[in-house]
Amino acid sequence: MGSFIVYRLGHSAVVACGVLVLVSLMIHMVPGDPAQLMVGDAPVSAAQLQAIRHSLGLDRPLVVQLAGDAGRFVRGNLGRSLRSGRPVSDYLRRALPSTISLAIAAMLFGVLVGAPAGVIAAVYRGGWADAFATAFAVFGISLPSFWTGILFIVLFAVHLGWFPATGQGSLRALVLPALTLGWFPAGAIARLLRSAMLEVLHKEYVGVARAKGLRESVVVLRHALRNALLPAVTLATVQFGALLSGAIITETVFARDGLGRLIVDGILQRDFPVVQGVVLVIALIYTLVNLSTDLLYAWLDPRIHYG
Amino acid sequence: MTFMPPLSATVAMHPTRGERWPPARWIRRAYRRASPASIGAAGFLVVVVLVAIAPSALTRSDPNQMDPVAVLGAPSIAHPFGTDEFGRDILTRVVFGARTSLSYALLATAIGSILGTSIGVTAGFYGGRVDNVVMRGVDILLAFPGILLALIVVTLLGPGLTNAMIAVGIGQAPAFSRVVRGATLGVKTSQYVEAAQGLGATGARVIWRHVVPNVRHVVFVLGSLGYGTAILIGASLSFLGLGAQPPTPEWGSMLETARGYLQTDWWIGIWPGAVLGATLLSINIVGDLLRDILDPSLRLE
Repeated sequence: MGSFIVYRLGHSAVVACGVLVLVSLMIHMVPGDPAQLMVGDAPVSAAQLQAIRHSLGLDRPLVVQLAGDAGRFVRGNLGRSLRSGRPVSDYLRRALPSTISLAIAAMLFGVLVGAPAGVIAAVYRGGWADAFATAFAVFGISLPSFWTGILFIVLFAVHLGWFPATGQGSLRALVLPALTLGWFPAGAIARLLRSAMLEVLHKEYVGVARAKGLRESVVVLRHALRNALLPAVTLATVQFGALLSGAIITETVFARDGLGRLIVDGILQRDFPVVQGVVLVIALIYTLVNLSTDLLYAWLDPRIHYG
Repeated sequence: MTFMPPLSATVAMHPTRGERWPPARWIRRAYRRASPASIGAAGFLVVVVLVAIAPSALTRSDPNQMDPVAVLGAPSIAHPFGTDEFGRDILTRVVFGARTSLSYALLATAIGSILGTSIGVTAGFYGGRVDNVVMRGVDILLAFPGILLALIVVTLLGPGLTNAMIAVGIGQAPAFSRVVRGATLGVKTSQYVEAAQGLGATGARVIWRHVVPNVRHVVFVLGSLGYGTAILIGASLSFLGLGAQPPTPEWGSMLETARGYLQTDWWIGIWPGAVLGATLLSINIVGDLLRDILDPSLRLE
């Protein structure tokens, strides 16, 4: 266990460093002159171009730039927006709470709906509840979120008027985006839990529990579900990291301010530091989530050890 | 060193040809596992592919033909799916959109599977330091979830569907190499690989003649599911305005247009999304069936 933690921490550190270097390298992989690309067709003098290059650090040797950038990122200095001149970290600080709350709400929906759906589907295998839950899962995994989001807006906002179509701040405005983003993890969890439960329900200890005369609910929830839960827990935590990038689409559908709006605007305006900042934040959170998933897994299942 | 191989070694080199995966067994399994849902999905995909190959057989020939009189028209007999903000026939654009999505996603899947398989097979086969370095690189790329890697490439190369699909292909390569590497590790220890090496075959020859044919089915299953993901990410990028540029008919960008008219002309977005959704659903169902037939042990969660 101890060696596993050390190995896993080292692994994550390597990945995090790689992410830092790759994101620092990003701007140098632009074909052509980044400064010229940035200004586009706007009339600028050679001196102004040189000033932009200097502000981006492009006039220094590559290795110096990379080391400088990575060191800067580690200290939390993500540079300034090329458009507004304001620190990128300011933008991130404003965008992050909205995106995180959306991801958490979506995850809550995913777990609270997906887990019962998976269990019910397994218990009533072959019945109409199973068919319904399986359809729910397959639709959730397959349908593009920007389409389901539009359908939700048309149905629940425009026609029924139950929830606002756009905006943020209120809890009611979070409902439709969370449903849209949460359907995928709900479907994935339901599908995984269904197959895990089906496997476990055939085990001998479940038969023993039944033979003891335990109530079926106790058999299912206490004996079967506990053993089937492990892969679902992993899936759920890994999903949380993926939800952050999924939120980019959902935020656009519902016109919410967040990391998604930030990165899309950044790409369209060629505001490289902003894009770098968002990519860095999502990739590092994702790495952190994966790390805690593995540690959680090892803690939940003592049989797992690195070897 | 030269020696005559015993006959048995030559035979052992090809245990897979016609033995482990005979097509007869595939067909039997397909027949046994096919459900009404998977038959329907396969049928739908056949229709979509046919439509993508010959779109103008079904509808009018120009998806960009504007009609100033019929702007934002509701569904009618002349325009079964209605018309968009320029009076273009939505049915025609949905049909031509199939060609856009399907062909570009093919490009992405080709890039992803070829790149990923080469990396995975090489890393898995040679092991040691090569494996370590390559797989750490793959780990780093895997730290960019979902659409993020595609967004980075679009940032660097500029918006556009070709760039976006190159991005999607590169983005899928790490997942391919992960799984293919695992399969290669399993194949590497087989007797036929050992036999080939004993006969003095070079690494490249062993990989090409013995390893690749035996991990092919993995690539096939991953590719089918990756194809669906490529279509989805391509449409997502177009929805964000970073993929297909106007006036290219593309499902994602049609939905982006529809987003502006939800309060009044909501039906603009229904059909492009429904066809996209049904295509993705069908690819997932058929991909699952394919996995059940080719290799039930493959888990792609």
